[in-house]
Amino acid sequence: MSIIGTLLGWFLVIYMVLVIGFYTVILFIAILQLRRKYHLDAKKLHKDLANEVYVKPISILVPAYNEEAGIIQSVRSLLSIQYPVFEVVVINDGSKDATLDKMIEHYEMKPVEKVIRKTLNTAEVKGIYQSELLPHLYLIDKENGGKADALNAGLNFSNYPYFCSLDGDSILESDAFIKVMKPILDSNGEVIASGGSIRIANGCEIRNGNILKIGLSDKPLVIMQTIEYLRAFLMGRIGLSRHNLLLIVSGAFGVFSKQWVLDAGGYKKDTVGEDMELVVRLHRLIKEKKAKKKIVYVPDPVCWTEVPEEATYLRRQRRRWHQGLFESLSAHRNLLFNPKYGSIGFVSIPYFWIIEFFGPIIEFSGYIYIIFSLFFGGIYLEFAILIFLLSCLYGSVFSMAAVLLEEWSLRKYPKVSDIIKLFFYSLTETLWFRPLTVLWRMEGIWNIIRGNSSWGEMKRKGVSQ
Amino acid sequence: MLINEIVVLGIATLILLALLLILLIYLIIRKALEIKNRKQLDQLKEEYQPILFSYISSGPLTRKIQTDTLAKKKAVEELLGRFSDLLEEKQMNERLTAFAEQHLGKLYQKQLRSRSWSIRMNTLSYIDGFQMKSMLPYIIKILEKASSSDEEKILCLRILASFQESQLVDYLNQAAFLSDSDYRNILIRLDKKRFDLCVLNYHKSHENMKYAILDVIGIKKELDYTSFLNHIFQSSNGEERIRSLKAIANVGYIKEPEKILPLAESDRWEERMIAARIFGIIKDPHFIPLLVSLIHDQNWWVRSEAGASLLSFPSGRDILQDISKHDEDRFARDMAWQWLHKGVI
Repeated sequence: MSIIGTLLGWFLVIYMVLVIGFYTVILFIAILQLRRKYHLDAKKLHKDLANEVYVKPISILVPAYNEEAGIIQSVRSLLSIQYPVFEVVVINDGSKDATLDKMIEHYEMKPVEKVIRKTLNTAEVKGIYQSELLPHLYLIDKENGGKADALNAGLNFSNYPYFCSLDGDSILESDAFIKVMKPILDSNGEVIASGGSIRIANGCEIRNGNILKIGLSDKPLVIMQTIEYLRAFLMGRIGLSRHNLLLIVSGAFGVFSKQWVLDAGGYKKDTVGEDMELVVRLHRLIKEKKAKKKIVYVPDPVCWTEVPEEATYLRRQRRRWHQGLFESLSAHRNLLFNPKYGSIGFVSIPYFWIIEFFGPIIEFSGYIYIIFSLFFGGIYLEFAILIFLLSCLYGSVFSMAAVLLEEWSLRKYPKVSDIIKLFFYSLTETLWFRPLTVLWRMEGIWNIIRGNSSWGEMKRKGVSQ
Repeated sequence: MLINEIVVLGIATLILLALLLILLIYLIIRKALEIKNRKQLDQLKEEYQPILFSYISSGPLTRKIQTDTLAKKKAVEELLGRFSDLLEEKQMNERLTAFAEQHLGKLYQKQLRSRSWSIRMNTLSYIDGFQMKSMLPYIIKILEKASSSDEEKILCLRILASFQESQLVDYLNQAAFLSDSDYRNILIRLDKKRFDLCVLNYHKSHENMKYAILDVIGIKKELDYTSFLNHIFQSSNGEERIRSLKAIANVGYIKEPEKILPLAESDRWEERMIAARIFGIIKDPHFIPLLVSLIHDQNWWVRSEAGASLLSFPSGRDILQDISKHDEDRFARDMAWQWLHKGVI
C-alpha cells in the first residue's frame, strides 16, 4: 500500500514537473515572438493591402442552426468588413426556429437556381437564395446534417479559392481578414491555413455587429474563461505556430485554402471537434504529400465570441470539447510517435494526448490524493503539499503570466482595473475553476467510456444589441 | 523525506509570485502613465489641429507650434498622419512634407537607429506617408545593412519607389526575398520613366518581379507596352504566360486576335478563362461559337467568364436565354441563367 502511494505520488509530481517544463518553453517562445511586434502600428502597414487589387477572394461560410437571435447581426458585421473581394454564404442547417425567414426577410433574399457541384457529400440542399440588396450574400437552405455537413455544403457552393468558417455568434474586427490573410498572401501560397486569436465578447459593448468598447464581464465564470482564452491563445498557439506544430485553428476563426480542404475530404461528420480534426488531417496530408506547406497563427485578436455565462452550459461545452478532442485524436491515433509525421507526430500529438486529454485524469487523481493524504498524513501529506504547490505553478502562475503578457504586448483592455481584476482572479484559478473544468472534462471521458456521444444543445442569447 | 523539495518549491513559488506581482505593479504604473500621456496628447492635438490645418491648406508658416517636447512631436505626428491619409492634392502635400521635415526630421533620424523593430517600422511608414525626402540617406543605410529585417527592407523599397529613385532598380534585383505582391506594391508607385527602366530590365529580373511587372502594366492599362506583352505571351510559358495574358486582357487592346484563338483549347483552365475574357473584350461576333463552347467547360471559372463575355455582345442575352432553356448540359444552363439574373454587382 505504502509503495503504491509513494509511487503514485512520484508519478503525479514528475508528470506535473514535465508539463510545467513544456509550458515554460512555450511561454518563452511566445514572449520572444510578441516582443518583436510590440507597439507596431499595424493599421498603417496594412493600409496598402486593403487597396490591393490582387488579394485572393474569400468565401465566408456561416453555418447556422437555430441562430435567430444573432444571425442578422453577425451577417451585418460580416458585410462591413474591409476586404476587397468576398462573398458571405449562410448555411441554414435545417433550423427549427425562424433563422431562414429572418434572413430572407431582412436581406430580401430571392431564390436562385444554381447547380452545385457535389464535390463533398452532404444532406439534401433544399434551396439557394441570393440577396437582392447585396449580391455577394447567399443563403443555402438544407436538411439538418450537423455543423460539418453544413460547412461541406457551403464548400461545395463557394466560388472563391479561400474560405473561412465562422460561428453565427462571433463578431469580427473589420480588418480581421486583412490580418489573417496577410501570411497567406506573403508566403506565395506556402501557408494553406491561417488562424486568428479569439477573445470573449461578454462584457464588451457591441452594437450592430461592431465592437464599440472592449470591456470585462463582472461574472466570475466569464472572467475565468477570459483568462483561459488569453492563456491558450497567447502562449499555446503562438508557441506552437512558430514551429508549424499548430493543431487547432480555432473553431471560430480560421482561413483555409479550399483546394487543400477539398483534397483532404472536407469536414468530417459526426464529430464534435470538426475544426480540430480538419487541421490534423491537413497536417497529415502535408506530410503525406511531402509538400512544403504551413499552418500559421496570428496573435492579434480578430474575432470576438460569446461564451457561456452559466455553469450548466459551460459544463456541457467542456464535456463536449473533451469528447471532440478524443474523437479527433483517436481517428488519427496512428500519427502518435510515427516518424513519418515528424514533429507533429512527436510533439503536437503527444502533447494533446498526454497534457490535454489525460491531463484531467491525472489532475483528478491529484485532487483525490490530496484529500486522502489528509487522513493518512506523513509522507502522503508531503506529497500532497508538493502536488498542490505544483498545481499552483501550473494553474495560477501560468495564467497570471498570460494576463501580464497580454498587458505587456497586445493590451486590448483599456482600464487599469480590468488588468488588476484579471490578475487576481487568475490567482484563484487553482482553487476553484481548474478543479471544476477537470471534473467536467472527466464527465466527457466518462461519456466516451459509456459510448454516449450526445452533447446537448447550447443556448445563445445573442451578443449584439 | 520530501521536506527539502517542499521548501525549495514553496520558495520558488513565492519568488515567482513576488516577481509577477512586481511585474504587475510595473505594468499598472505604465498603463496609468500612458493613459495620462494619452490624455495630454489628445489635448495637444485638439489645440494644434486648427493651426496645423490652416497652415497646410494655405496659410503662412506658423510659429505657434513649438515641438520642443516629445509629446508635442507625437501630437504633430499623429495629426499629420491623419491629414496625409485624407489629402490627395499635391500642393497640400508639399506643405505637409515641409512641416514634417522641420519638426520631425531629427526625431526620425534617431528613431531609425532605435533598437526596437516596431519603432523603426512605424517610423518608416510615417516617412513614407509624409514623403520626407531628406531621410533618403538613412533609408539607404537600412537597406544596405545586413541585419535589417525583410519587412523593413520592403518598406524602404516602397519609399524609394515613392521618391522615384533610380537606384531602386538595382536594389530590386538584389532583393530575391520579395513575393510578387511585394513587388507589385513597389512597382505600382513608379512613374512612367522609372517603370520603363524596370521593363527594360525584365529578362534579367527575378520571376516574381516579372509577374509583378506584367500585373502592373495590366492594372495601369498601359497601352505603350502592348507589343511587349504580346512578345512575352508568345515567348513564355506557364505562369508567366498566364500573367501576360491577364495583362493583355486588362489593357484591353489586342493586336492580333487570331493568336488568342488556340488558347480556347488550352490544357490549362487559366488560359481558357482568359481567352474567354479576351473574346468578350474584342467583341468580334466570330468568337461567339467559341464562347458558347467555353460555357460548357468543366471549370467553373471558365464557364463564368464565358457567360460574362457572351453577355457583353449585343446578341448575348438571346444566346444565354437559349442556353439556359434548351441546353443539355446542366452546368452550362445554370451558368447562363446566373448571368441573365445577375443584377447589379
